[in-house]
Amino acid sequence: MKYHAKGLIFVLGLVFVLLVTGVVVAQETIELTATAVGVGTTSAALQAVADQWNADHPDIQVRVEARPDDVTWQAAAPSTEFAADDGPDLSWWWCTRAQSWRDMSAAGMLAPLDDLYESEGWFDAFPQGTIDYFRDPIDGHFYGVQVDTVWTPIIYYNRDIFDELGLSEPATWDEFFAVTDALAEAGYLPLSAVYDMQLQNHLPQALMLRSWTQEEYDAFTQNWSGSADPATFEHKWTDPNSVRIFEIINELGQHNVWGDGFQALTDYNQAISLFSSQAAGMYVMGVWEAGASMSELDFNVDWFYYPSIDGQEPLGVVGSWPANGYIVFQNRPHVEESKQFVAYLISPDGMQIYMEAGGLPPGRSDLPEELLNEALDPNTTAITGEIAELGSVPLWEAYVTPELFQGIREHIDLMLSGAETPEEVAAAVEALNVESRENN
Amino acid sequence: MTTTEVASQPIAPYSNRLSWYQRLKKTLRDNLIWYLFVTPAILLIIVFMVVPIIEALSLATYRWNGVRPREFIGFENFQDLGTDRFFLGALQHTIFFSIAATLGTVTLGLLLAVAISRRVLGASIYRVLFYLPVMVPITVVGALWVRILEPNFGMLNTFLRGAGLEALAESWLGDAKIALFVLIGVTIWQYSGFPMIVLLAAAENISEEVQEAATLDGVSEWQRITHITIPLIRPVLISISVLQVIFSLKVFDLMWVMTRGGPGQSTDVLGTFLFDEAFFKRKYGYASAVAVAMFVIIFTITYIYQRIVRVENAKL
Repeated sequence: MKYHAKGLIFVLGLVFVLLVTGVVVAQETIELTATAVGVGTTSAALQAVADQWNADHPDIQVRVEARPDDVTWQAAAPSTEFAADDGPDLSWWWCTRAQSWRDMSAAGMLAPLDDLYESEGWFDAFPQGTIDYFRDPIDGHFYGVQVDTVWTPIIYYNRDIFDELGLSEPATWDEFFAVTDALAEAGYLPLSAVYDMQLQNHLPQALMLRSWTQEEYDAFTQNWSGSADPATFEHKWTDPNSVRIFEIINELGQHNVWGDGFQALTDYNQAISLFSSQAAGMYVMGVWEAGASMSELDFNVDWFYYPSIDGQEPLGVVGSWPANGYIVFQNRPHVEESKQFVAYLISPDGMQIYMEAGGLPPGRSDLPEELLNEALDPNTTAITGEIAELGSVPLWEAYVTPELFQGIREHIDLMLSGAETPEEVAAAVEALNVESRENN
Repeated sequence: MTTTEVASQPIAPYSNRLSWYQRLKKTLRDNLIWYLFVTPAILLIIVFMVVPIIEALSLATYRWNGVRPREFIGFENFQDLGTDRFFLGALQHTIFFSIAATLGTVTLGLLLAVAISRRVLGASIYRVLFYLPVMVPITVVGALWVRILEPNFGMLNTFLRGAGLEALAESWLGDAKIALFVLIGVTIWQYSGFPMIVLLAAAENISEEVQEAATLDGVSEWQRITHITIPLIRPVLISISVLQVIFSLKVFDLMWVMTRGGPGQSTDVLGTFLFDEAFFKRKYGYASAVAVAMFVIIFTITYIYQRIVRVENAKL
């Protein structure tokens, strides 16, 4: 009898073990796919966070897929892989109208993250401007969250060359021209600038912050849309403060600030190599160059911002790009799990990993300074602190349609080639703005 | 009728006595194996060419930004093309580029082919050397020449300044008046090797007796080229020229890498214009209209080419 009891206990124990094992085996491991641009450090940063998440969450695994570039991928993805039922569960994205973000949310492709904004305390973690930016103007929901922020344009300069020539950071446009003249006289290219990104794009937007009043800025970020407040339509691109933007760009071109043949400098690597090889005295780009690129140079680098116009206080010394963010797709089987990963990504722990791998300042502004100092390089930390004091405003391009954005670039290109005057550019852009209202 | 009268009546061919359905069946039965051989290719052409062309033609009648629902607008996109100064500029640049690049590559290729066929010193080296650029990817060529042509520190202007020829140092890709010519020059540099190889093969097929007879008659080299070589390789010359035109009409990558269509839209061609409209402005319907326009132009030239080839073959 004793043996029968022992045998029964053994069998029962074995059954119990088998049952538990079966339950464990039967639990499905959820696999999420996250896409991010492979150019730069974005996908590496996302991968670093995913690695830690995967280690901590064996039941929910995140696979990161890098995509080739930021422009053509973002042009095609909304209508192709994002629209497909088997597309990624979440993605890094430029949350701007130009990259179809608002169109995707209107089409029901994106999952609202309102619950995360509440539960994760994001309403207090991000600046109010960021919260306002990410709130959908139609339905008030939040279809994305900012991960990092970048500012542009920043003028990096070779301090050794400046010291050699007895130059100092210019505070006015006259002083700026004096610096460029001195550099050209000494045989240097005064300012190396990627033509399409900087001169056609970031420069006019930096001048918008210096030439427009707050009222004008608020108007021009809205009055491309037919449903905007009609009062905003009173502000036109042919107004003096807008024409002035193009006049200054034209003047910079005629002053040879960017050297001969500047319109041919469309290669990003070539532009920075002119600075790193000390052929150019200055180089203009965004904060993303402050880290790895500038710290690897074998000369001293410092930076300044474009001067104000006629002493007018600018709306911001630089424009901020609020759009680097993450979106979660609605028509997928694991939306809640994707949100959990995004919540972790944006948490202080996730952001520390992301910053260390990506090198960019975080979007949330409530992280302790020690964490920023630890994760970011000294240049980026210094610029972050400066801009927090001096102020920045979201870039105009974050709000407008791609047609309007490309249109202004085309006409600036024509102006710098001598084919159009600043007044003609202003008139052309106003025409595009009016046309945009009819189509949007 | 007598037997003789019946026998003398002409008998209609067997196929004429069949209905169309029976004729079709007979044709299929007799040639089934051949149709099976070409079916995969036909299916591929239908799926990857015909269907996209039809879809592009359809999309050209819509306004669509890639995400929002498509809005049917009929032929409005085509009407807009007719008044779009940027499209008309791109069309003009494309046609000019095609003609100039073809003239340059074929002329230089012909001269090189003739020189090599006459066995000049180092001919075998030239044959390889001049063909090498053809094998280099266009994006590499573009990136390379951008650095050579950089006006401040690039190799070309540095050499010109060092040789005391500073007056010749230009903003090669930064001057709207000359940028397109520079790109044509780069294209000629890269692609002359291809017509050279084709025309060389044609030139070397000219009978030795003809060449010897010409030598005995005391012709000069120029007379040999103009009165013997060119007339005898004329069909190949025409073919390679038309193919080069068709190829040049589709140019995109060189312009995109080197100038992005600038400065001042001076090097904007149909390929770069289409790319801008589709992927930067998200005007997919309008971009499709541009694609249809390009298709019509290239198809027309291809048709003309086919007719020319048919006429040349008939002459032979």
